[in-house]
Amino acid sequence: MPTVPSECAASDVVVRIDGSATGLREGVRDLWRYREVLYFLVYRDLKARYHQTVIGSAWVLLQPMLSAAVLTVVLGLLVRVSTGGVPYPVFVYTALIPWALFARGLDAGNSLVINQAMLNKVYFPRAVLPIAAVMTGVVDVIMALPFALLLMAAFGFSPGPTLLAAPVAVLFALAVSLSVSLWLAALTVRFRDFRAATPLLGQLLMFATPIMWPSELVPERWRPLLGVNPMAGVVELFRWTLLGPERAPLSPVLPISLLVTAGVALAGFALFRRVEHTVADVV
Amino acid sequence: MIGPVASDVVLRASGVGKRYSLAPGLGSGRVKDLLEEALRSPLRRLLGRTDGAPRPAGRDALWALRDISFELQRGDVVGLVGRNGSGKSTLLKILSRITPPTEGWVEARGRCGSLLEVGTGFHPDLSGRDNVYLFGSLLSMKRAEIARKFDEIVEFAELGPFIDVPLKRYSTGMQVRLGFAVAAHLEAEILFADEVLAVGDIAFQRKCLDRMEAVASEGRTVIFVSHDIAAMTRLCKLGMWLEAGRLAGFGRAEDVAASYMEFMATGPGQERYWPTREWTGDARPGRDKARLEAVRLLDHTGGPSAVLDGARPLRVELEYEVLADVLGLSVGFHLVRQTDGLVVFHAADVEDPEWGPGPRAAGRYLSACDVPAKLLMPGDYALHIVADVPVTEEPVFRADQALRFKLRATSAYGSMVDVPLDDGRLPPGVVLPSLPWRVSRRPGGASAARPAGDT
Repeated sequence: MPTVPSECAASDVVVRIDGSATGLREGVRDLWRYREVLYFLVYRDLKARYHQTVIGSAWVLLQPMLSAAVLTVVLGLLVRVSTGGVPYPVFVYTALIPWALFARGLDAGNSLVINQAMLNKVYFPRAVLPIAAVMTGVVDVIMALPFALLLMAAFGFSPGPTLLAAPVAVLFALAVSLSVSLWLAALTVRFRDFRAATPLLGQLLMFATPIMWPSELVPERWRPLLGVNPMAGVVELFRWTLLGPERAPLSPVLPISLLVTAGVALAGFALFRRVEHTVADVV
Repeated sequence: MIGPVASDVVLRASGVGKRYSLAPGLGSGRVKDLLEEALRSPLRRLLGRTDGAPRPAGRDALWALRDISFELQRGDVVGLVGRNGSGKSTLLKILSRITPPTEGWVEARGRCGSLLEVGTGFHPDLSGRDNVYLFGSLLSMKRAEIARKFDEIVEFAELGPFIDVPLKRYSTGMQVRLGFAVAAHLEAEILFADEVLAVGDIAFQRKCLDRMEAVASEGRTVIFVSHDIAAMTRLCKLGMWLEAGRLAGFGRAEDVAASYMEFMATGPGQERYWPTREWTGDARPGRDKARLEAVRLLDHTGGPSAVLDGARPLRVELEYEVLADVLGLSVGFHLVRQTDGLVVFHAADVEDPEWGPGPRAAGRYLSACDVPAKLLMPGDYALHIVADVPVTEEPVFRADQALRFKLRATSAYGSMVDVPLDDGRLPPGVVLPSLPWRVSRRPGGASAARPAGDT
């Protein structure tokens, strides 16, 4: 019976505190109870992130744009990577949008360590911290999407009916980023090695994901392996969503990515719940 | 899923213990240990029992808390005392779900709020207003609840026009006031507070205390840690005393405070009372002006004694050497009540009609002071010896807790002190002077009602 505690209904809530991890249902209920903390943490991060910058939140658009520009010059103009008729800036920008969200997920691995003062002073479901860190990335994606459409229009591209699937694509990217953030947050609390290793991991993964190169480059028999990287599926789905039905995701990649994501998500959630209640002692 | 909780018990702890491992694990120790540990069992460490079944406790484990069991009724206000490292903070952390107990369990009925440190989660770049909402939500307040109390919070924090200024422009005092103001308006049935009273200036501390008093009288359950024993006994009905991770006392606040203060005054491995103290050479308190050499407490027979009859006079003798001629010197003592550190009075040898505050040539001196009988309440006292130059207020020497002694309550005190005298029940007050009273009959009144022949 998932009761939603209102302001005064809380008095019959009986909380039992012992050495065991909270149950799954109790954990989810607790997260819901503390949803406003999540809201204010996202608000805080968004408001504070570009505080005392001149162009403020325009950085959200500028960062992937500059990356796209650099990649366009190097890979599009000099190396001349073939992208199946899609102008290279459009090709790479559509993939950089979900990648930015994923990068937030990698960053969120630090969220428990960064906020350890908070963890030691007050109770709230610890998962709120990585989730909040990833959610700020969702706001970035939502801001970047209209800009992607502008960029496409500038190159004579108009989105097809597949654009309606954009929320699904964003959700998929969110699921991947959240699961990775839970994994990394749980691991980083114990092994600070991950603070140093994660950026490297991100870089490797970026090359392993069809962001700068089309997935068709991978020989057919290796394509299932490509899908093992969940971000490959995410990028394929984003390109299909934005560029139209003719850029359907490469055949086995998407289902495999979805499957892997489901596994990573479940394991990440379980791992995090195991670690969660002892975080204050370990961090 | 949860056993029945008796009607008005809102917080119940049963056999709560917390063990911290001191073993060289990750984050400490040699690289070899670290690698071995990381390679051998990373998954077991992650997924498994960091806190499950207690392993055999060896030298590498420390029990910060053990066997803590208690029940609190709705409306109980409990003062938690104990020395540093006695487990107070650990207990509050367990109660507020920050860290899990290693053994035992706690059941809490109702919304719990913890004010472990005001201002947690504050962000310097955000305005005071934003921070109120952020901190409030961390304390599990709902947005509507914060909005409703917002004006009250700002007024309490005395921030008025600054509430929309970024927090980093605030002074430390302003930040602390804002933090307490939010926390003080949390509507929790059970509140845990750690040292929150030690914030701000005197006026704001006063306000915090008043607020705590108001909260305590609203029928909410409060546990708070304070080093101010006087404030604790005033605010709390109950006291809880932790010593070395164990519950050393739980009951009436006055009783717990008294036994805690007595414990603190004597300390483990220390003599409780001693009647004389001497210093030689460079150990003598003081510097180039004068140095203290001996302190003695004498009873009415003239012999040194540390446990005295309060109904008889006593004498304090101070021996010191003046190293250079001084224009004036005041040598004396604070007489301090050990139960709460109150200075009962200060006395100094400037009262001497002959020497007074006049010049003193270099040489050795003895200043003696007679304390009259039946002046002090029975109890434990200490002498802090202080000497200064009265004109310049320049300190000359000082020796805190130079002596400790006990005044016994004996029947010689008279009817003011009841017999049996050692159960600690005494009339109120700081001193117990024997004053000359006279009672006389006035003419008139109901004398006619007296039975005849009664004279």
